Amino acid sequence: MDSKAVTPEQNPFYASGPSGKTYASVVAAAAAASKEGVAVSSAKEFDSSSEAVSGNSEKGIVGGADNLSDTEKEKEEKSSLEAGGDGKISDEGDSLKEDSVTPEAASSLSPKPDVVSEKTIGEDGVGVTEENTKVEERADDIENDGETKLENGSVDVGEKQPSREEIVDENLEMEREESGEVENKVKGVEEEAVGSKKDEEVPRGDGTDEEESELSGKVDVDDKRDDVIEEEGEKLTNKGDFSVDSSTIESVHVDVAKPGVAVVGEVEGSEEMKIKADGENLEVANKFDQIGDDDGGGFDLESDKAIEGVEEKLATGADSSELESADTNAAESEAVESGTEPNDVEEGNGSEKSVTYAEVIKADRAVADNGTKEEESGFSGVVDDEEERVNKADSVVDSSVMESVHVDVAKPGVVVVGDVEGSEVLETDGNIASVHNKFDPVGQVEGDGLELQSDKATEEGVKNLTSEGDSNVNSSAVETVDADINVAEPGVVVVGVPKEAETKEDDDGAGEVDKAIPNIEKADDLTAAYDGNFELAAKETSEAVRVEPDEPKVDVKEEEEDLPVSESLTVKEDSKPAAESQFEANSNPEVREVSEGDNAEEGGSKSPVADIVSSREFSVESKEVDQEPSGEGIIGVDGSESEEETEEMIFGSSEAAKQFLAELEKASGIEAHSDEANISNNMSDRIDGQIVTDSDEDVDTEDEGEEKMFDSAALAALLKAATGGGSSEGGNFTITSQDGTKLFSMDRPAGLSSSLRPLKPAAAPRANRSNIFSTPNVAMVEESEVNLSEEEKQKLEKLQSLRVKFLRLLQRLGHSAEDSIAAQVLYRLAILAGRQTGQLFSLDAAKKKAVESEAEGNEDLNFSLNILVLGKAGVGKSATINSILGNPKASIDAFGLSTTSVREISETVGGVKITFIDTPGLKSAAMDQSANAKMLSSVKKVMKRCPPDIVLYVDRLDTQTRDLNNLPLLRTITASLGTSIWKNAIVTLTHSASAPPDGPGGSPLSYDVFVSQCSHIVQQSIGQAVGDLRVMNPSLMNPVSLVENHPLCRKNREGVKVLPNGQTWRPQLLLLCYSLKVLSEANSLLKPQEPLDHRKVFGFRVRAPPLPYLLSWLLQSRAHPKLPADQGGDSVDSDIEIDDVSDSEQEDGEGDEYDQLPPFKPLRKTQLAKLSKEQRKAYFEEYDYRVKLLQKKQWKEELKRMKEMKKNGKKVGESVFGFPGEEEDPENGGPAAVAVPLPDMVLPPSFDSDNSAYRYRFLEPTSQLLTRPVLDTHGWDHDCGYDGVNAEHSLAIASRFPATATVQVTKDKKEFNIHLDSSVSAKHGDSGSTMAGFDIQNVGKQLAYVVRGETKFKNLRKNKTTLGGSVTFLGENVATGVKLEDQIALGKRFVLVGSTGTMRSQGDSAYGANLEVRLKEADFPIGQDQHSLGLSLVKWRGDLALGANLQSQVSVGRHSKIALRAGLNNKMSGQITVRTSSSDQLQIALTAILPIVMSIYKSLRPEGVNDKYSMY
Amino acid sequence: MGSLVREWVGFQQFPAATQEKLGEFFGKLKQKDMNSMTVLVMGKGGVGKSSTVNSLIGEQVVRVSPFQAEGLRPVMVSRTMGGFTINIIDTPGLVEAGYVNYQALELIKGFLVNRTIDVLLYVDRLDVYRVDELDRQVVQAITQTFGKEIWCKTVLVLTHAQFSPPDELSYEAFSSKRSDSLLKTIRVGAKMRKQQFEDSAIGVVYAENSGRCSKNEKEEKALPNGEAWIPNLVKAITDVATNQRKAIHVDKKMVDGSNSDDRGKKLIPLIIGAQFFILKMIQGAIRNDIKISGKPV
Repeated sequence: MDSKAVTPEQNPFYASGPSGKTYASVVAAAAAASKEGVAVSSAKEFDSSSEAVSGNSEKGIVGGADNLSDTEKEKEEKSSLEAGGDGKISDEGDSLKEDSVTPEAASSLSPKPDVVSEKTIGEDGVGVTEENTKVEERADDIENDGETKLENGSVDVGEKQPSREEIVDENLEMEREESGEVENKVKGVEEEAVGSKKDEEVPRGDGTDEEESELSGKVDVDDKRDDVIEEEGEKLTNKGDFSVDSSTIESVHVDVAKPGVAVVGEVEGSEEMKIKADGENLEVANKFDQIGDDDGGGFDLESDKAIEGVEEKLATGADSSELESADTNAAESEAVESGTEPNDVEEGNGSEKSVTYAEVIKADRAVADNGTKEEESGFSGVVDDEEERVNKADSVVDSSVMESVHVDVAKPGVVVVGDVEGSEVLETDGNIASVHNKFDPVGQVEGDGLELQSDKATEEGVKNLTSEGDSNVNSSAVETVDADINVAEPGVVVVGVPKEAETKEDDDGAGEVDKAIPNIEKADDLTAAYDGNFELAAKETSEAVRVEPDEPKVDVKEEEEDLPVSESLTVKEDSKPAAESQFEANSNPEVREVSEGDNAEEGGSKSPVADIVSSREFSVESKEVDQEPSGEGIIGVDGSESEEETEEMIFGSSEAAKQFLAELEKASGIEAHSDEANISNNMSDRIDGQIVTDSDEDVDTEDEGEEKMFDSAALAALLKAATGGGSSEGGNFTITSQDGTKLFSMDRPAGLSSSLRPLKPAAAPRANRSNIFSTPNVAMVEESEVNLSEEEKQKLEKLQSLRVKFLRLLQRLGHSAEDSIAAQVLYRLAILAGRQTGQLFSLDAAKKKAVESEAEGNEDLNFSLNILVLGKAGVGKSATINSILGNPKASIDAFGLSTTSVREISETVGGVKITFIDTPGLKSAAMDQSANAKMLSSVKKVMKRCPPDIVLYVDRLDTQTRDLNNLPLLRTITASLGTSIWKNAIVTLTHSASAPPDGPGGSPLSYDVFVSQCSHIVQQSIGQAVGDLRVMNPSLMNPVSLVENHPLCRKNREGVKVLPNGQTWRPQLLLLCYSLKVLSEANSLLKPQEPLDHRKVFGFRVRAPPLPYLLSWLLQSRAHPKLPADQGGDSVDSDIEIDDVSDSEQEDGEGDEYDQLPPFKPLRKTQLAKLSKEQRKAYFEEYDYRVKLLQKKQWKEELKRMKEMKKNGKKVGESVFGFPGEEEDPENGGPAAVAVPLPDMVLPPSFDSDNSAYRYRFLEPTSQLLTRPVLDTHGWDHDCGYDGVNAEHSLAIASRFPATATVQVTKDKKEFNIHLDSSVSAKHGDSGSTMAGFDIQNVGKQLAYVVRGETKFKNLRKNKTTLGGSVTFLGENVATGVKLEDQIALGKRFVLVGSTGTMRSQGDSAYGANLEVRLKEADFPIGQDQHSLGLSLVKWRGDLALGANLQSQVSVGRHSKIALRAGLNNKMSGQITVRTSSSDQLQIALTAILPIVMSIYKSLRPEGVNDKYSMY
Repeated sequence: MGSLVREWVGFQQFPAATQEKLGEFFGKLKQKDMNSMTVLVMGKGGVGKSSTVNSLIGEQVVRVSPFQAEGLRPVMVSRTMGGFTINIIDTPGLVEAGYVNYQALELIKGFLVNRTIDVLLYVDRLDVYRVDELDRQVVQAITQTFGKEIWCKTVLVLTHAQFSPPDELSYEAFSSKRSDSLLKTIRVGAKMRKQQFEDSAIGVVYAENSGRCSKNEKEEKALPNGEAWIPNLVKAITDVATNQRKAIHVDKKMVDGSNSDDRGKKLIPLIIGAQFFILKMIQGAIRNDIKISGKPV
């Protein structure tokens, strides 16, 4: 839920992420609201006041927008701007109007459809007037802004209309404090608008908008965004709208932890999103509206002081709210700010769903930026946001695909109501209508902004908005909206509030109403201009919207000035009572009362609206309004009414919220910047109170309290709205609208308001609402169909044809569609089709068609069924097939194996071609499972040719026990055919006519108990065998069908076999088969992408490169190929340290020892045999000594020569190339050192020419191509260790770059491996060398191509460092790696090598490090003893592998050598290899006999045991 | 272990005709100086062992539940009537999860220590068509535990006898086919020679434990062919109990079985000695080889 409240600001968005689009949309809306905060609020107010107001607001807004476009900053130029607005704005203005209208329209519409249509408008008008007054002051600036925004918005709208989703940010910029988390119930997405504090929240809101836009019409959105960039807020909102279009969000939960959060906005956003889903255009419009609101909210919050700034913001907000047009404008402004913010947003996105979320976040940030700019009065801004949200909500309602909206407002000042209203509006509005509505809200928003800036302007804007809202409401037919509102803190205006606000406005307008009307007239002109704009954006819808708004706007403008705050105040008072009465009465009576209290016109208009609103609000509150956070007594009102009811209520609340917001905005505007903050606070408090009331439907009481609070008309409107909505928000809020300066003042602290609000349920309103909504829904459906994309249509058509087919099959089987299985199938089909229930996909049509085609005798169903039959032997598989087919196609025999091989049996049954795959019986003994597996593998072959749709697992009903005897064979089936085999499996129990056994009491069990027990046992066994809970999900439990093949089976009059329970099993089984097939076909039809994706993902995983292996390959240190001239020299990577050379030089004296020795004549073996023991010993000692000396001498000569070469190297250059080996001393045949450019094979330590290893020794130093067998050095028997061929070639390219290529091919019984290594190196002076290499090797069954490069340089005398990297291509994967290696020589005998590296592929990375210590014998090359200890560390996928390796090679005696290898890893697995090679100690070999014999003995002895305990 | 020996109340519940016949059989046993008789009931799970016991005793002495394994331990039911005691030992099913349940077999063995089995009732269902590997394994396991002789003291009881055979087979044909196939399995599983097997002459009795079992005119539970099966069963039991074969006495040795760990223990030094000589031989051969190859080339 929202409660998660991720980190304040960004988190909320993330949270919303799940429902991606919806949240995004909501956020965006919120953002927009925040930006336009003031404007939005005003817009809301206008809305609340009435539709007429919306109209005014539109005009005003339009004007404003124009001005803004021309000169956004020039607030003063109201008139000029307005004019410009008409022209330019016409587009923009329309969009704006739409936005503004939407909120109002939504509210008005929702009510109107049910009760009031014209009347509401009148009310709106009044409200508008009030707003106008407020607006007037700020109107100029706002208008300008709004116009510009509108322009942008209009453009965007055109694009967006198709599909836009807006997620309204919960939090107002100011007070989002914590998190308004909006969760779309539908998608389950949760948005946490924890906005931690206003700024953040606002940005988020923007972000959401953006995200939304991206989601729905991404391309469009982008465009819009650009426009928006000019006006950041606007853009965001626009985007948000787009997102809404895509919205499939079902539920939105909004938790607002802090005060002043505009939860409503969010809700609205969610609603909008839904709407979009239904009708893209309409939804879009709504979204825009919402956005606009958001923007406005932001403004309010931000700037009390800088009215201008606020106005601008508002204007931008309006633009955004306008969505289409507004969005562009807002986008511009926002974009500028967002520049910075977007980044944050992106970051946030990363964590969540990514694109959408990220976008949202960005948008939010952008909003925040805007907010910051405007920022002065965060609190007030919050209110605005709420309003905006409300607007959005309205739009959402239109598209209404949203099912439930939960709003939790923890802090005070949250305008939960707004959200609710929004939702309502959406519902009421048809898709198209909703679009208009959306625009209107936007307009309102703008108007609000205007109000803030200039009262006049605001009024106009408000009016426009209201008018639009009304229109929207009418069209909108929201089906069901569940709104949960939790208001923790006081001052939150839940649903109830908005309505009140509206009513209040109306009241205020009483005097104003008249004015408003004139304004409306003026608006007409404006509307004309707007209309043009609208057409651009959303042609039809926009136009309608425009018209309405225009009129109101005009009026508003006029009124603005005329109606001062004082008037509004009075009106408010009046309105409050009226509102209360209305609320109570819910319907017309209430309205009338209101009218009485206020001017007749106002009252009349208000009353209907109020009624509607109230009813809606009430429902909302009752449903799920939990005001947990606020201790104010907003006791979590979980009124869980019917969904429809709740939705309606929500709408009401949203409307109310809008009104409140609008009022608040106005007030804030009027109050001037300083007051705005206060207002916002007040608003929040009020909101809380409202929420409380809403939940209980104690609107009246609450309203009263609120009324007190409200001074101005706006207050009155709020009160009315609250009362009407059934929310007691009004009570809490005290809106004091000073002469345009202060709209609202919160008397009570946020926390206190709660106590005041009593919870009263208002049931009557709900009923009214339901009626109201019923018709709109129908309209929606039609629209939704119209709006279906081609793809969707095709899908639906296919589904429908499938359904027809199924119905025909049903008919043939003699089943009715009401049969439980059939009904289930049809239900699931309907679910698969989504909410599309129009002409294209109507069950009745399908039925009709089915009957028709059956009547035609059309036999061809194009339906076939492949059925695989599996089961134990002798249970009646073949008999079942015979029974189904109706003739003995399969031979059966009670005792023998009648079916000995897998067979296919096809026959047409009732027009369906059924192919059975009959299988031999499976055996249940665990020992026989290999036979089963064999049989199943042949089944698998057949399955490939003839993939089964259905699997019948056959068993006997009367032999079920719990001894798990079937487990082995079930496991075998699962293992052989995969778990998927069970997905479409039907458990078929034969012998089902057998009598049930006696129960524990001695009396027979009832047949049904018996059957269910047996079914349970079989299903459980299958579940155990599958071991996969997903497959065995209870809902997926394999259906069970009963079969009785016995010829004596009872039959009914038609000769159909009947089971003891009266079931005719054959048609039942066929029906089950058909159903499963139809459903799986439908599933594959609708979600072809998903399984594909899964496979892809899965495949990726499977093919993921073995990073650790590649890493170890990379980390291997390699010798750089050397020019022959460098052989053995001090090339950088030479194994021989130059130190050694110099060191050995010092021992020259010793080296000459060999020459000084007396001649020595080696003895032949025969001669040796004749020697005595002592003689022999002495001989060998002498011999060894001499050999050693000789080797030393040769080594030294070699070193000397190398040194010479090094010295002469520069002179000689590469001309020396090719010398190797030629100078070799013939004597050196034995230990041939340099000549062979290959690493030597391991040779026995003595010169035993009998040793077979010498047979494979090749001394062809002159050939550059070297071929030799590959010795498996780890084998016991080196004679048999050759399993491959190795060819190596080295050459120098251009005489400068030595290159080597080695190909090794090995093959054993299991695998064939090829391994190519090639590398080229280049030397940089004495201390550097670079190598590039290309390797090919087997990795699993794939070939990996590795391109690697490394540079080695000797940075110190004893220190060498290597840097390298590699790129590996393995199948479709590319793995890149980097390594760093360092080698330090410590003294002559110690070498320390450390290397570290990382390998990365597809976001997966492995890290590894190696450390190795090598200890060599003092006279190394001659003495072969060496030891090395290695440690390696690999981290991959969170798995840390640590391994140690010890290698030691020691000479034992003169003829033997022992090599020890031991490895151990942190998994406590390891290996030890001891290799002993000896040329004369045969008895050593005998040591091996013991273990061998032991193992033989062990393998023999257990056999006796096995005989007895083999089962274990 | 030994459950209390109770008066056979259930006997009075039998129809008069049955009581009469049973009394006759028991009298026959008494004549042979057999004052008590122990009947062991074994078979796969879920075939109706416990139900058969209940039918035989005429009381619900053993809990029977349709789908549940009846119990994990053997249960002995002792009833005395007129100085004659009949002990019936019901055992858990011998098959679980596709394997022969050796654990259960061990339990049974332990339970039977120092008892004498006069008769083994090997129970299976009549209405199952196929005989499979598991049946053979069960027979094999029983044979291993108690020796081949057990089969000379066996009565094959086929439950669920009240059913109509499929494929239009006659009841007699089906039941004889079914019992033949099971007997064949027993013969194969016990690894008895044909002659030996025929000598053992395992009797076959059909039973129907269900409460729905039809009754004949004498109110006896009767099979589709009209025979009252309980007297048949008791008759078969007495026949087997009084045949010339020795009853199977389960002693400690049989229970412990031959410790497979000890098997071939004595061979160990022998093998070691052989190893030594082989070693010597190889060494000698190698030396010889060296001698030959060591000669001047």
